[in-house]
Amino acid sequence: MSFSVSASFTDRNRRSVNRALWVAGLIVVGLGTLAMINVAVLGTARAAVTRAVATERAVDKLLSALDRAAVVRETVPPAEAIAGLTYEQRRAESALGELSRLYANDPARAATLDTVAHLTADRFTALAGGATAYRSIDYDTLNDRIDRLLNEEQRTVDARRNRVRLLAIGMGVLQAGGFLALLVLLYYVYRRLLPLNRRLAEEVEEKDEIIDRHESTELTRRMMVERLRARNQDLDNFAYIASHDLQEPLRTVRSFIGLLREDHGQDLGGDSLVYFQFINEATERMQRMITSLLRYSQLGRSIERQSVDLSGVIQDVISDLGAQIKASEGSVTAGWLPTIWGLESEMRQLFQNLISNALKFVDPGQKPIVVIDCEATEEGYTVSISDNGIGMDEAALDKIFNMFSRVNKPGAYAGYGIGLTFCRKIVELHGGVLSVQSIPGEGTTFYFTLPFYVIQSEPARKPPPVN
Amino acid sequence: MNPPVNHLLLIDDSPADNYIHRRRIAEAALAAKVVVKNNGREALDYLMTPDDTGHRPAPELIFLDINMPVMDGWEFLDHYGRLDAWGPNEPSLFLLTTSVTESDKRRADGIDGLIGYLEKPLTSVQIESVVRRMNPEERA
Repeated sequence: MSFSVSASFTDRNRRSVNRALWVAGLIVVGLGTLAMINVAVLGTARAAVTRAVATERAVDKLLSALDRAAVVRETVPPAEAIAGLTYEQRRAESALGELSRLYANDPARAATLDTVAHLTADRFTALAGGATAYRSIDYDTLNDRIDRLLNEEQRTVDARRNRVRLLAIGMGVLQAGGFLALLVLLYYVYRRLLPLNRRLAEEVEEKDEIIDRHESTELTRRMMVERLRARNQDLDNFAYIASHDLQEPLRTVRSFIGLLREDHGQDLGGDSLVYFQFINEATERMQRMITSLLRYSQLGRSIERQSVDLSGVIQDVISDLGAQIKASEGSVTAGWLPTIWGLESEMRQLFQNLISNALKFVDPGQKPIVVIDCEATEEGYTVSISDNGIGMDEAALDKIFNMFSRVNKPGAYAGYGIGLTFCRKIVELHGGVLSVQSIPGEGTTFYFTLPFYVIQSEPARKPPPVN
Repeated sequence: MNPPVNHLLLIDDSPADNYIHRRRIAEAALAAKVVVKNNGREALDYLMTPDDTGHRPAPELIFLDINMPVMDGWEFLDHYGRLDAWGPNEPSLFLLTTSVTESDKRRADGIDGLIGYLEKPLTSVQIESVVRRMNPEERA
């Protein structure tokens, strides 16, 4: 069941909602990326700070070593000073080692560090009393270089810190903007969906009403079908009972007319024998009509359905009608027909009636040509039986299916006119409809449909026509 | 010439049919004696009651109609089947019907003692066939 809210309305809304959702998705992805960048940058900033702290510590250690060395040199007698100086020198060298590790990948700083290391070594040598070129100016240079190290480091850290701060601000702005945009989009989507939702709810209600209406119509129809079916059953029963009970008195009448004729036919004289003849014919006709009515009412009753190969049935009928076909020098051709689930004897009667009629109702001297064909339709199959006989005009077409009606002059063609009513009922018993088309002087075609639910076989291949 | 049958029992309630059948039977000189009973009950009573000679009636031929009041043909056949064995003198039983339907035929096939069915009104041709079928060769 499809909801037919006006197509453009749905499409427009659907498109804008899709677009909005796409944009929201991109924003979310963007925010995620920003967050990741944030984390990365913070990581490097922290690394820088760690290094700065380590540098400060190492520099402090170096400076304190140098200071303490100077103090030792001034306060402790030379003999014991060596041990103290050596100790401080060790400390200084360890500090330098740390610094060189910290600046391993920094060629610019490495140069400064080198100078510091040299000057420190010289300073210690000088303090130990060794001869060096160490002068007071070198001491300033040493301090200067050390300061430079510290300052550069500080500058690096500060720069990093600034960068991070800027980035953080920028990111913050972007993220705030992103969230805002998201909120706006969500609101937009919500606004778009709201009327759609409302429309859909209305449509659903309408459809529900329609469904209810259909259901009640369906119920009424089903009840009517049941009633009609029961009625048909009643009529069949009635026809059966009526014809059955009518037979007995008719039989009695015929029997006693017969006796009357036997006993007194000669005595009555005159035209009495002729009268008996007329009576006999009339009662015989009546007998046949009642028998037909009886058989008609019994068509299809309480007989099991089975698989019926219609091609086979036609073969049998053609063979049964062999004498008639030969006598009229006619031909009967049949194409492929399906196998159906139905009543075999009745289908045989159907084809026998139609083919026999086609052979019979021709101009004197004309050779009847009968063609049976089968065509697939949307609802099943349509079988056609066409002939090149005398045809029928419109007035006749209306009447031919009526019980006991005859459209030709009495005596022109033998028959009692009951066959087509039987044929129609047989077709109806198989869920189909019997119809006819005819052109006077050219021929007649009978059609009957077979709904798909009685069909058992589909053509694997069409067998050659049967003659 | 002796009639083929000494004693014929006709079980039918229709006066018209009985008149016609009696006549046809007489014309064909089929039976020396024809006894008519109007329903199954009367027929059974007749068959069970010894007559003046002290024996029970033993018709060689029974024509049985189906539609009768009090007890119809089928019910009669039920009881008839339960009667004591007739021995070698078991009557030939024919059903009289108005029209033979498939269901009637099937029902008839299932009954012992029933030789066949005849369509009313009885004709001389049918009576001839009855005589033929009464012969022991036919019955086997």
